[in-house]
Amino acid sequence: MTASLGHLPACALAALLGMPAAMAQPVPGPFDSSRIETVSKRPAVAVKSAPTTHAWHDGTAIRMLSLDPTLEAHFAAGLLPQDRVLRPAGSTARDAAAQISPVLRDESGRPRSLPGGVLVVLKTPMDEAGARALISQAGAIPLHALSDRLWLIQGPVGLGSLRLANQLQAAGLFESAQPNWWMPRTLK
Amino acid sequence: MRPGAALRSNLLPGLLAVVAITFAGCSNDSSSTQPNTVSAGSNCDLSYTLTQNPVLIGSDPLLGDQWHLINTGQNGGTPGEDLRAAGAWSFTRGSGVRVAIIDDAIELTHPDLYPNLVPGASRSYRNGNRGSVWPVPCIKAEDDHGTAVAGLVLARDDNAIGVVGVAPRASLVGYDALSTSYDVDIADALTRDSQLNAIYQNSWGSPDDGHLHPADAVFSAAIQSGLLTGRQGKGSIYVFAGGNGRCFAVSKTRECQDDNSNFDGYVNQRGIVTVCAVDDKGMSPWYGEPGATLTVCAPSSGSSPVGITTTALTGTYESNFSGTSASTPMVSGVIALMLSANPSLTWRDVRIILARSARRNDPTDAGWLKAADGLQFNHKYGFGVANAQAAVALASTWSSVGGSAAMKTCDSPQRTPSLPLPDVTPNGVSTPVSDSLSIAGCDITSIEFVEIFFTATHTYSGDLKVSVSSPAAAVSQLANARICEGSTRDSCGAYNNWRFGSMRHLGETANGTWTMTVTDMSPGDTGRFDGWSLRLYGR
Repeated sequence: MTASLGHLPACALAALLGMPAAMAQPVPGPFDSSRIETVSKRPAVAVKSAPTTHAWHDGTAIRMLSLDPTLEAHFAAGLLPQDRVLRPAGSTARDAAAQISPVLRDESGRPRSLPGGVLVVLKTPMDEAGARALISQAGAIPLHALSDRLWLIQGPVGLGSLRLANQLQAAGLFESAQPNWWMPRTLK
Repeated sequence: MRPGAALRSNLLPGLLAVVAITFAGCSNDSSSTQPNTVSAGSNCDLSYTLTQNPVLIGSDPLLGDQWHLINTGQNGGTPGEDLRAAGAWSFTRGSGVRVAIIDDAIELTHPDLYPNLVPGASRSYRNGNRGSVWPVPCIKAEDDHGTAVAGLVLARDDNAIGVVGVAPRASLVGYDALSTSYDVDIADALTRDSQLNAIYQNSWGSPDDGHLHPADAVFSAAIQSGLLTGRQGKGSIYVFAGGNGRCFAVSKTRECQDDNSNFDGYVNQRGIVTVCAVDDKGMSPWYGEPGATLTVCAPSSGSSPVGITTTALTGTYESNFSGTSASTPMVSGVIALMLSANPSLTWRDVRIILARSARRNDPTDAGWLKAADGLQFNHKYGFGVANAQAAVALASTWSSVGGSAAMKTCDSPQRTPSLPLPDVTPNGVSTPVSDSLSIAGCDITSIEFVEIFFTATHTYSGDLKVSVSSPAAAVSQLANARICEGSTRDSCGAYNNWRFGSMRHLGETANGTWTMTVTDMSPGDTGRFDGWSLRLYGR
């Protein structure tokens, strides 16, 4: 888990303890800046070899992601994704049924991956029959509604769901289409 | 047990078990077929056996340790620096209000939580157990966050065990959407049973690392759906943690680098109650993250080793829960009390009442700024510390301002000043760059929230300090300069139509001249102030 627990303060203590943020433990006590990670401003430099990049549509915004070749994401029933989904690239799956997806990083360096599925926002609220017809018309398979405008559509684990989302976005039938991202959230 | 945790057993175990909990070794999912056994899923080291027993009556033995409810100075804190919860309990204890806890897992079988559980209403998203109504913890060493959160909202009172929640008779629903952290599960949890759930409690968010972290459009769509249609149009109440990112890192010269709640896309948008923390002396703790988005604060850990006492795994209790994770469920509890007192309140009413009833803590702090309607705002504290007694009293007589359908919106013209941002001079002088726009013809006479969209091109966005001032000359500090960590990044994120949010202008009039000011605070990088616009919400 990249989370900071509800037990403070993860990023700083993680550095202090030399462990991933998720492992940082609460140490309520006086503030001591000498124990916190030191950062320095790096000059903007040109990237010598551009990483493999992918674009996705976040509503009306286009966001860029870069492939992290060192990691992969394992999705399988019985695994605990938030903290255990990321594995070194090429590692043996814990579960033979695990499906593996590349790991991408957003502008902030935060990892994302693709457990399967696409989320579409309809342009206007629709009843179930209408929404299913519209999604089918777009060549996709509707799974279920989360609200009268938000639907989950079938999509494969991995980059296939990113491609499907971008195709649906380009088709113009929906207000937006994006992959069902896996992304760690931080417990505060 | 986590290092430093004060894990306690039930003090009266033989008298009071609502549920007896049996812990197994690695269990199989097949155990879930047994009628009295609750399974967290496969590969878990926790499982639970339900034994129905009556809820006993008696005082809660750990209430005296819960200084956040009644601060008598028991741990060296300042008496009265609390939620004023006891004063509200003579009026209501939260009955009739459903609170959905969205977290990693929730031990619904905990004897101090189970009496308030809505049978069958919870949901587990965990991969091995999708669709279960038991989002209970799986791994003892990891899944402890949501249980602590739930106890702060609504641990049962007068049941002769443990602790008391802020709204101890509110109803509990648990969603473990963070156990998968899939967008679809987060969106589902935020909108599930929105006609029945009143409050969605969220002690989670983006990393507190100074970077700009936008929220995906699907998150915003879920929130807006809940605001519009939840609670029969009165709107779902979304409560989120403001973050723990003050001094998230230090520079080589040992200067603290501060995160800002406005860098977190989950809390910088309309409709979120954003919560900050204060310690047992009413001061901002060293991790207290500032921001114009902050609504109110609530108690948590601070400079002294005094944490928050609440429910913990395996039917026990802990005394060191901390951060805005602890403060946020307290505000959810206060809101549950308000809605119990007046179920007709809309999501807009709730925010206004919280602000108007808040208690101004740390009164000598220089950050308190005059706001409209006689209020004061502080970028460290929002409108102050939530005051349950005053909030319930105000809620009881409140005349609603309406829900989403009645809310007015005004958009400013889009400005594209394209102004160069001069670098800091060698002797350390910064040059602020400003641009103004005029709003006219907007019929909002009482602002409830402002969204500010900002675009700049800069080789290191973390250099920029950004603020906006209103026609009333009230200033929202939107971004502070900081250095961001990371080995692969060259900046803190691009300001490309970035949305800032502000509660600071609550009650002001929209029409007039608004001015945005951008200042480069650090040498070595330059750029341009490309554009900005405003979206104002109110009545």
